[in-house]
This record gives sequence, structure tokens and C-alpha cells, in this order.
Amino acid sequence: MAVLDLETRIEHKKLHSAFYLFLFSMSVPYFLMINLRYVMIGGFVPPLLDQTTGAVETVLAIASALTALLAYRRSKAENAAGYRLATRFTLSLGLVATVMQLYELWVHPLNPMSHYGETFLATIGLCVVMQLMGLLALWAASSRVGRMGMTDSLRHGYELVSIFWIFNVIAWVVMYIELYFL
Amino acid sequence: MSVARIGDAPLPLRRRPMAPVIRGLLWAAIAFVVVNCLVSYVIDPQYGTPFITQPSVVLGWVAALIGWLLGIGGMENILLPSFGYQVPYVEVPGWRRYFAYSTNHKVIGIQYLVSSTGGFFIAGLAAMLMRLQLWEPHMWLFPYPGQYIETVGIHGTIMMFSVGTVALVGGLGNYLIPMMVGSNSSAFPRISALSVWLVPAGILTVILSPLLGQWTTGWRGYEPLGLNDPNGILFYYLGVFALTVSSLMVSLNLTATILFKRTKGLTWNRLPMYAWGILTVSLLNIIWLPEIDMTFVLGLLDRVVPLPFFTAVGSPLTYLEMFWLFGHPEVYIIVVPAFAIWMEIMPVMSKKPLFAREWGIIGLIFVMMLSGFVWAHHMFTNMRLTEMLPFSFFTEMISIPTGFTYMVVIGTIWRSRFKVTVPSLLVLMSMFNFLIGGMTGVFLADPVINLQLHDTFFVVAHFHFTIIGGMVFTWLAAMYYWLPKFSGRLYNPKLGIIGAIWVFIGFDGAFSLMFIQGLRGMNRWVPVYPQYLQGMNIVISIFAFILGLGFLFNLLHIVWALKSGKKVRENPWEAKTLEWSTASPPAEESFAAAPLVTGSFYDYDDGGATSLPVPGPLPM
Amino acid sequence: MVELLVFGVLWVVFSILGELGVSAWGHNFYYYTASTQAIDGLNASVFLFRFLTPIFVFVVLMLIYIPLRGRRRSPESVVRGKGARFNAAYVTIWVTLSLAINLLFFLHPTTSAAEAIFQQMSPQATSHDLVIDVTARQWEWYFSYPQYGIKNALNANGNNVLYLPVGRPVEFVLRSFDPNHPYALGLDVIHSFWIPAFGEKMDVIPGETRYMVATPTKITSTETNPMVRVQCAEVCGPGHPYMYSTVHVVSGSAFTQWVKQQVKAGN
Repeated sequence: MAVLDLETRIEHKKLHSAFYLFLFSMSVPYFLMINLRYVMIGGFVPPLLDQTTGAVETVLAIASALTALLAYRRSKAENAAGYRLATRFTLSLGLVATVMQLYELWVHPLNPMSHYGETFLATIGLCVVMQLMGLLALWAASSRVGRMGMTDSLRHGYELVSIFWIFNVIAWVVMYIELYFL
Repeated sequence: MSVARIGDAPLPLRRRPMAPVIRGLLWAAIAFVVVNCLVSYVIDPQYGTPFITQPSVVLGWVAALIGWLLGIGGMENILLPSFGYQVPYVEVPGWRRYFAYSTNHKVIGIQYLVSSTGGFFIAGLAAMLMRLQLWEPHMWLFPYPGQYIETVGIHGTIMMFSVGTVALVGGLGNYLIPMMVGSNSSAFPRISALSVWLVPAGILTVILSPLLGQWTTGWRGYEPLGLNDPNGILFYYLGVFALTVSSLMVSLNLTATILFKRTKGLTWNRLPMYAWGILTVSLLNIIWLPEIDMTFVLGLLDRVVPLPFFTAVGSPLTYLEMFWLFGHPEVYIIVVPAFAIWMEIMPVMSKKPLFAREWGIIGLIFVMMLSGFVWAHHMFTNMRLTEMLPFSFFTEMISIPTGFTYMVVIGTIWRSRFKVTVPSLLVLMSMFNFLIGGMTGVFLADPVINLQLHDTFFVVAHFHFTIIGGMVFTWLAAMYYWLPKFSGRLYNPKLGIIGAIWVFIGFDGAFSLMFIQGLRGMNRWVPVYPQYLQGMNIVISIFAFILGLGFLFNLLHIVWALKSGKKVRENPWEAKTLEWSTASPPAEESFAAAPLVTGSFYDYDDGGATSLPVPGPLPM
Repeated sequence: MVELLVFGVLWVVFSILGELGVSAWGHNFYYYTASTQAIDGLNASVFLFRFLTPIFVFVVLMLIYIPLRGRRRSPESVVRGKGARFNAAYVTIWVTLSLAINLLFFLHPTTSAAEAIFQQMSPQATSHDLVIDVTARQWEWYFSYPQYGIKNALNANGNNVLYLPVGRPVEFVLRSFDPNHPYALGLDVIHSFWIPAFGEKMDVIPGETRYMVATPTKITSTETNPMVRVQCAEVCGPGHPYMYSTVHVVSGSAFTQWVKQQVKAGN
């Protein structure tokens, strides 16, 4: 690992802090959806909710978060090829999880006359949209690291992409527990 | 153009790249048609296979927005580089620069200001149409009441989301804040460079909403009327989404700039007041804009899918709560930068130090914090009785930190050689008008009085006094104050004073009578009204037309002054904040070398220097 | 010091003028009051005016006086040094007064007037009230009097009309049009039941029942004063401007007669 002078290290810390501010902002809709769910329907869990699919997609999502963490570590070590591999795993696992969530939305028995269960639809939809943004970023990062490699000034971009994906998975796990169990 | 000589190989043909705005529009149009047809003909055709359906227009718009952002420069500067492709992108010099993607914060500031001004006059035109209709107590200008109410909605939406929260934050903020903290760029210039193009997209979307149909909810988008309305409301949701995302990006960028790009010596204790204003406002934006975006997405889903969230079997009041959770901080987002600008301009104009500066900062911060506790004072008529008193309490309390700004400004100008210039006159007018707005707010904060005044023209007058009085007058003051900085030229003082008095008469005449109209029983969102209210409505309309012409006059004057005003020296006000130590207009890089701050920016009677010029060639 | 005194005198003079104005015109604030609730609101407003006037005069006088004085001020009389940056007396007085006035306003008129309304709306207080079921729908008002068996009060033209006996507290039960038709969920929207002369309004929320209490104090009607009308105050679609009804406040005997006539007409 290259030795960084204090100035650049502070610059990197500042970039990460600014990104966490962005993540704070992005977490507000999730809090809103949690609130909304309890306001609208209390603790109701729709009986037609497919617990198997939910469990499988969550396991896949957590796996993708672990590979993202691995990618983050490799990026810190300036391991370009390793980062790319881990990110590709993250991308694949994340894609399958997202598709499974979309499947849940598709087969969900939509009932426009009852608010029971519909917050489920909107909440999963929010997670899917954010995950799609995360997947796009992962794709871009794995492509970029292949073309431009990993240098010290470039690496924090890659790290932030991994952090964003981990954020998405944490948000999904919280929503999953809230929607499917609580 | 090179000259070829006989015997040379033929020169390659040079094709001029398409102008970014044209390319953006083209890509947006193509994207819209493709995705729209995909949805309405292939994925989800509805009965009769119409060309446009609700889902198709929503998804088509999203595609068009992405096409627009990519076409305007997002492709070469953001999308392709993030995938690793380095594509050369040259910023064209001259006026074309302002119609393209640019990472220079000064260019971005001007782009935001111009978009904001455009939105202001478009929404102002809508207001003129409204006042024209209200001349008569029956429908005459608009054939159908829905069209009038739609105009009200367009007026309110464009003013709130593209003028109120954008002009002072996205516009002046992007231009001035990096300079005020001594930096040559903002923290994330590419974010702002792209987000500025969301504003014209959002304004255009809202203006085009009549193409889809009427919408009668007004700028608040109340449910269940939102899902009951004709389709124009779709473009309300989408346009506001674009505008709020732009504001969110600006807030993230400016917060990071203030936190992380301060120059040496610029400690927290020396941060300029405008930076404090932008910091507090950005924090509010960062928390509440995602919340309102989620609310509008739910409203959109409620309508398009359809979902039953906000109908009678759901909870209409939940929409109101969610809206006002954002809606109240929104108005503080509008007015807090204005307070900060008062505290910037007044010490300079009175050549006296800023009085009780820490109390001014505390005032801004406490306004920000309390703004999250007062939201349901917009809902006294539809909440449970037990909820009324806490909200009334906090609403009354928030007047205290608001008053701190007045305490600071009055203390500053007291016993000084205060100079009445166009900026300082406009600030005085702003303080007067906001005072009236604030005091009528005390009446509205009382639940019992609120039960009479809610949803009447009294409220309309109240919020116009606070918003136009607080923010627009200060915007004008700020434009005149920083005009020498933007252009190196000065406005014409006589014309400036005439312009200030003109808008003051127009504004106060029109809106103070609106208080009375509300008390006499005129409700909101009506193009027709009982005959007894007509006389005063005519007078209000006349003053409103005077006001509209007054704003136009000021616009022309400012534009003229920017191009052909009298040239002045670089710092005609002898102000001490960092932006004034750059050239006027500033060079591409505002500071040739990073300045070093050694003292307060607001000590106007010590005669000492506040920032040391670093040895080296002076910026020209 | 002299400066402060001069300003002080000016402030007192203009405040007194302001208070005289409040005494002369303050009671016109609500323009036409026809219920006890309107009178309560008006009294609350006048109280606020009394205290806000000197504050308003103070700030406005500062905004006018200081620029005027600033023109002719000599450089020596400008405040400099520590006094220009902070003045403990001024800040303390300002902060304390603003806190005190706010607390005062919260106690009276906010809480006192609110508690009065809460009391008027309590179940014991409303047990002898005249009950009127108000149904709001896009874009008309239905009035039914369950205590008298009137399902839908109409006037001779077939328009919905509201008749009230003077002096008797009335409880309006506000509901949105409830078709029980599940295929049209968005069928009704938020309206607001407002009688300007009664000084109060209450929103009508689909799916909820809300209440408003009023005691008419004058015999009046929409023809006498157009502020005595039912006007929808919350935008509810294109018909919103036309969503109003006439109101008649009549004597007790006239009301009984009207009830008889409505029942006979089969409404």
C-alpha cells in the first residue's frame, strides 16, 4: 500500500464523510416507509407473502454484501483484479436478489381496495429502485477498474460504490425483517 | 481554418458537435417516444390502445429526463467516465458555455439564477392571468374553473420549487459560497454541473401539465383529490421530483464545500453568515427532500397503479402529515438564506461591525431545528383536538429565534452612518414586509383564530408577505449588492430606487388588501366569488399588475447594468468577505493563490485587514 | 443616551396612536360575527393586536428612524468598539421579552380560547345541542336533521339549505359522501365546512367523522349578509368555487315552523 501524506488522507476522509451525508439523506425514505407501514396497517403481515422467496433473496443479498465488503478491502489494498472479481460476484448475487424481489412484486395479489399489504408493495419497490441504482454503480465500477485500473486517487470511488451497495443491503434486511416478521 | 496548398492531401471534414441543449432535447424526445410506445403498445396496452397512458407517460418521462441529462453533457462527463471510458470534453468559451455542462461553480450559479428567473416570470405570468380572471366574479378569462385552479397550481409549484428554494441556494449559493470560503471550486462540481439541468426540465414539465389534463390540487397535491384529478397532476409529481432532486444535489454539494473546502484560517468561528444560512438550509434539504420525494412517489403510485393509501379506506390525513412534515421546513428553507443575506449586507452598508453575531447564528440554527416541530399548524382544521396545543406552542416559539435576526440587524445599524443604497433599501423593505408576514403568523398560530382564517386569502397574504417580502425582496437586494462582483459594473442608483419603490407599492398594495379579503369571507382556489367581494378584488388586481411590471422593470435594469452599467472598482462597498477580494468579474480561477484568513469578516470599525493577500501576482 | 430617549418618546407616541387605532377598528377584524365562537375569536385577535402593536411600532420605527438619522450622523457619534458588537442590556431585554410575550400568548389567548372550544365540544356540553348531519360531496352540501327526521333540507328551488334557530348551540356532524361503492375509492375528497360569519371552519375528511360546534347569536341570513353562507374552503376539484349553500338563522318559532314544513314536504 502506498504511503499517503496527511493532506491526501484528510481529503479521502472528507470524501467519505460527505458520502455518509448522502447515505443519511438516502435513508430518510426508508424511515418514512417504516412509519407509514405502522400508521396504515399496524403489524399486519399479508398471508400471501411468500416467505421462501423472501428468505432466499435476503440470503443472496447478504452474500452480495459480504462480497462487497471483500471488494472494499481489496480496493484499500489497491488490488485491482481482486476488486473486479469480488464486485462481479456482488453484481451477480445482487442482480438475482433484485430479480426475485421483482418477482414478488409481479405475482403479488394486488388489491386496490384494501390498504392491507400495499405498503409492502411500495416498500419493496423503493428497495428495488435503490438497488437498481446500486447495481448500475457496481457495473460501472467493475468496468472502470478493468479499463482504468486502481490508483490511489481512483480507489476511493470504488470504495464508495461498495459502501453504497452494503448500505442498500442493510436497508433491505431492515425492511425485510420489518415487513415479513414484525 | 487552415489553408491547403496545391499538392497537399485533402483536409478532413470538420463537423461541429451538436449544441448540448439541442442534443439533450433530441435524446429526450427519442427516449420518450421509445419508452412510451414500449409501455403503451407492448408491455401494458390499455383499452383502445391509446398512444399515451398513465404508466407510459410516467416511464416515458423518466426516460426523457435521463436522455436530457445525458445529452446535455452527462454522457461524456459522468456516464462514460464512470465506466472507464475517457472521452474528451471541451467547454466552449463565451456565451455558449452557459448552455452546456460546466463544472465552474460561477457558471453553474448563473445557470441556476437564470433558470430561477425564468421560472419566476413564467409563474408570475400565471399569477397575472389569475388576477385578470379575478377581476370579475364570474368565469370570463378561463372558460372552465378547472383551468384557473390548474394555473394556480402551476404558479405555486414553479414558485416554490424552482424559485423560492433555488434562487438563493442553487443560484447565489453556487456562485458565492465557494468564493466566500476561499476555494476555487465547490466540493463536487460534477454533481452541480448536472443537477442544474434538472431545473429547466422540471419547470418545463410543470408548464406542460395542461397537455395531459387539468389538475386542481394546487401546489400541495392533497390526496385524495390527487388521485381523483385529471391527468395533468402526473406532470406535477414528476416535475417537482426533478426540481427537488436538483435542490438535494445542490445542498449536498454546498454542505460538503462549507465543511471541507474552507481555506486556511477560516475557522468555524469566522464562517460568514451566508455560509451559516446555506449550511442550516442544506441540512433541512438533506433530511426533508427525500421524504417529500417518497411522498410524491406514493401519491403517484396511489393514482397510477392504483393503490388505496390515501383514499377513504386508507388514510388521507397521512398524506397531509407527510406533506407538511416537508412543507413547513420548506418555507424556512426559502427564508433562512434571506435572513443570512440581511446580516451580510447590513454591516457593510452601515460600516459597523455585525452586532451579536453569535446570536444571529443561534437564531438561524434554532429556526432550523424548530421548523421540524411545527408542521401540523397547517392542519388545525383536520387534526384531533388534543394535537392542537403542542403545535401551536412550537409555532409561537419559533418566532423567538426568527426575532434574533431582527435583533442583530437593528443592533448593527443602530447609531451608524447607515447609507440608503438600493440593496440596503430593499433589505429594509424586506424586513418590513417579513415583519408583517411574521406577525400575521401569530394570528394564524392561535388555533381558534386559525379556524376562521385557514384556507382564506388571509393565509395567501400571510405567506406572500413572508415569501415575497422575505425572500424575493432580499433576492433583489442581493442581485444589486453583488452586481458589481458579477460584472464589474454598477446599476443606475436612481433607476434602482425607482424600481424598489415600484415593487414595494405594488406588492404591499395588493397583498395587504388580501388580508382583508380573507377576513371578509373569501376562500382560496376560487376563480369566482360572491359579488360583494368584487370591488376589492379589482383594486388588488390593479396593484398586482403594477407589481408584475415592477418586477419586469427590475429585471431589465439588472440585465442592462450587467452588460452596460458604469464600470466600478473591484470592491465598491469595501466589504470584507472573501468574494470581494477576487477580481470583478472573477477570473476562471477566483483565487490565484489560496487566501489566508486572519480575522473576522464583520469588523468594520477596526480598519485592519481580514485576509492577507498571499505574495504573488494579484488576480486581475 | 439622548438618542435612545428621543427614540423612546417616538415609540411611546406611535404606540399610543396604534393602540387608539386598535380600539377604534380592532373590533371590525372579523367583519361580521354571528356566533359566540366568532366573538371568541375576535376577542382573541384584539388581545393579540394590543400586544403586537408596540412591537410592530418598535421595529418599523427602527427601520425608518435609523436610515433618516444615519444621513446626518457625525462620525463621532457612531458606536464603536465592544458596544458595537454586543450590548448585554439590549440582548437580555429582547430575548426575555420575546420569551415572555410568547408564553403569555400561549396561555392566553391560545390555550384559554382552545380550552373553551374543547369544552363546548365535549360530550356533556353537546348532549342538548341541535344535531345536524352535514355530508360533503363534490360539489354540494347535504344537511339532514336526524332529531327531526329531515333527511335532506331543501329550499323551494331544490337547493340544499341550512336553517338554524338563533341562540341554540348546534353540533355539525361532518362526513364525506359515503357511497359504500368499493369500485370508486377516490370518490370523495377533503372539503372544508366554513361559515365565515360563524368564525370557524372544520375539514371534512373521507372516512372520518368530524364535529364542529356553533351557537348563532343573530337572526340573519345569506340575503342579509353574504358572509352568512356555507362555503367549502378546501380545494376539491373544479366545482370547488361553486360549492356553497345559503344559511338562515331564524327565531325559535320560525325554525319549528320550517321543520314542520320540511317534514311535510317529505325531505
